[in-house]
Amino acid sequence: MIEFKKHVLNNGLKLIVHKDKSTPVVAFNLLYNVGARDENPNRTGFAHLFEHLMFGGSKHIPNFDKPLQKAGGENNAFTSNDITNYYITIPKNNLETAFWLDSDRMMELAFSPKSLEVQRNVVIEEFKQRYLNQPYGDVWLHLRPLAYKKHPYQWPTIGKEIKHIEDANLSEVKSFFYKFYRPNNAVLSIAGDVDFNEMVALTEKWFGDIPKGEIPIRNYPKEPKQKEYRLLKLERDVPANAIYMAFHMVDRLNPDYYVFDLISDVLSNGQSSRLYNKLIKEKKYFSEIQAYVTGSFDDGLLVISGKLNDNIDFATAELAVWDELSELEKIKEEELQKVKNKVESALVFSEVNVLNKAMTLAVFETLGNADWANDEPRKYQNVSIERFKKIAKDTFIKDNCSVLHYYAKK
Amino acid sequence: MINRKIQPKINPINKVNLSVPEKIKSNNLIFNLFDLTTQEVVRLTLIFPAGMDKQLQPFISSTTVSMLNKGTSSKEAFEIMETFDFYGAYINQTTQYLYSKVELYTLNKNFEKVIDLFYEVVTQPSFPEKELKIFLKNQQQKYLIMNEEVDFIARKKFNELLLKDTPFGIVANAEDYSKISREDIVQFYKNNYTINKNSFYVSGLVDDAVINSLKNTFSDINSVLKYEEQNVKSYQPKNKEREAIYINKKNAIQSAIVIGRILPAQTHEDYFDLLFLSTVLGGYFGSRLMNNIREDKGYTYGIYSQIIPIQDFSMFLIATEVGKDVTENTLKEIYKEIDILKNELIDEEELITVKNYLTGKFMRSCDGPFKMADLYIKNELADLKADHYKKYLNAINEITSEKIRSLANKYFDKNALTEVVVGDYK
Repeated sequence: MIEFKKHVLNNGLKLIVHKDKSTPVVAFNLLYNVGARDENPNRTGFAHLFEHLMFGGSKHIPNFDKPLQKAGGENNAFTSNDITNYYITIPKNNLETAFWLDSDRMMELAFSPKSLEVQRNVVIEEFKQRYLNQPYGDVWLHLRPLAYKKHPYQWPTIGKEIKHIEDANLSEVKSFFYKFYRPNNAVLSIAGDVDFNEMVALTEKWFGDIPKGEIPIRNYPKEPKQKEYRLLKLERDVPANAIYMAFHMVDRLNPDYYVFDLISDVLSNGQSSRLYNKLIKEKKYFSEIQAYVTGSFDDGLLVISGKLNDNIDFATAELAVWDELSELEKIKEEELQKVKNKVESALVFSEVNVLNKAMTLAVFETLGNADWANDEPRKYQNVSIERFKKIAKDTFIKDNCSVLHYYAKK
Repeated sequence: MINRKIQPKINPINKVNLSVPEKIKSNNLIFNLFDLTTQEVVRLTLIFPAGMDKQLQPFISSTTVSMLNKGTSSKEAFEIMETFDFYGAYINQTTQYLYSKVELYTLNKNFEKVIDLFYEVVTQPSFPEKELKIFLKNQQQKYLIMNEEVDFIARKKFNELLLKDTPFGIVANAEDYSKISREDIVQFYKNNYTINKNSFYVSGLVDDAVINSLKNTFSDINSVLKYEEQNVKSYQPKNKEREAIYINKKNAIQSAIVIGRILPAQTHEDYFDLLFLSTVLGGYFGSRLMNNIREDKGYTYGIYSQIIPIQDFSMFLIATEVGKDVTENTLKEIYKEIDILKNELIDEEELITVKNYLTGKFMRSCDGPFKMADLYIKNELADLKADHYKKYLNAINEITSEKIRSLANKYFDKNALTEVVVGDYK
């Protein structure tokens, strides 16, 4: 249970405050409702590049990190297909520095040419380090466009290709900023040993005069229902063959989201899970295998991925996965309760950390209501065995599957 | 009217009160209890003197600790894990330079339900041949994949070069997994899984029910695991003359660079100051290396330096992955930044920035019941005095620019630095 209080500024900025007396550290989390899905298909990777640029200096503050370090704080950020999230952890008695820094860059970035030039290169190196120079690193560059033909989830956060990042220019940067980086498109979530009224006062003081913006109404192209089995074969310099199977599922707020998540847990969460025991230990087809949900705001994917053992061909491995998927219909109450218990435990453990709590509240507020964070345990607990079986039956069909056969070059 | 140009007042960062555990004796066992109630969770940490230092061939220590839950004298792996999973309990098995660690994470309300099984896993593992074979084969596969990554290859070579006179520097390859027999594991467990005064740490919501459960369950652990005071063998790798190695990795579009050397132990009078120096050089986002190689030149997604304490010595290293075409330039710039620290004094502003950054970092490092306990455990296992962290915070506070410069000269002579580059740029 994460208790909190909420306040909305006139400019639309939402403030969420959670009091946690046990820690001297305050988590200051600012979430902007913009992600890779908001990009122009010819200028992908932009939201993420922009995240980097947010550290290149703002109107009154040439360097973001140094004043924060001076105050004993730390910060980082990440971009996903749905959101861009900036977070600071700082000793409680220097919290005002966080307000000063984040409000200034929300007001106006410095938009320096040098910063764009450097961060372009940094992001290109990130592209190489994480996606191109890693074994299996480019999987999502191919799996996404296979599963999504219309929806902007078809490209990954890093971008479709390096060229898009190379071509980014300063005027596009400015226009992106004023379109999305406005107070009425953001949630500020603060967790720590803080007083709500003081937080309201500080937020009004530093963020109050930032003008609201005209946020475009989002209308993402709906992904048409997949009606055929899709297969892509790739050959790469890797030590083992790998398979990736993506099934369409619902969006994050859909009541059935929890069913899908529990299905993925039954399949591969922990060493008593089905895929681990049947396909790794018993049949020895895989050296590792995972099932997980993407958790995206719009209709997401349930993905099964694994590394094949040397003597196993793709047909055999894939067939074995399909067999396990059809076995899901035989699930009994006890196994379902087991995965529900694992989730309950994980949720409790996640509340040990103040930054985690701040982020969770910010994400749910962005989805519509921070209090939904507190409904999570109940929603998992309420998943019925009938619903579990029905979703499994309807989801795991060939026509709903996009498959990547990733061959190790001989 | 607010003035956005001026930073709000910075206050000195409050002293952190480090938690000291309540020590409960039961027979000759000592349970260290950190009752730091935030959520209704409990973590039980068991430490065994079965680290990499004790193994005679690669992967024995890590295999042994990983195999503990794969079968006991009365239960098979599936039954064991199904029980833990049913109660939402997680176990964590890791190995370090000097010890292996087995941890149980559970909701407080389920502690009694899983503690006996955890005890069984730790004291009566059966190491089934079938499970071992599967485990080793899969680890080997994972290793083959990691061995394709330039940073992994570079770190491996670097460790080999610096630590070759010690068991921490044994050259390891994927095939070494196939050389492990069940007997190796059984022997390693028999010889090294012993109890001493630093074995049990419990943190979280540690109430009477948990304490009683612990005492009951572990009361005759001595009948299964030997009690043995630790007499840890000391290893001292020799300081080397500079060696610069290049390993070609075909088609690598980035090069991995690792540069470093052996440094004195964390009890040495220079250690805390060296930590400070390493932070200035590459230990945070505003460091000399980050500012130059990432933020100014855009050569990399990240570059950092760190000091790793390993018993009676420590290891300093700088690591990064850079675009292959800028490998030579990066090397030049790294040595240039080191030279600057040897020749120029860092200014007051930077000194204060790093002091405050490190003080804040320390605060974050003991935030919460588990991190607080971890700090204490690290201290105790390394046999450090109770005031070690106080001394650290004092040292941060008192260090001067002159000291930093003089340390840079004392320890960062290029001839004392080992360099490994892995890539495809030559």
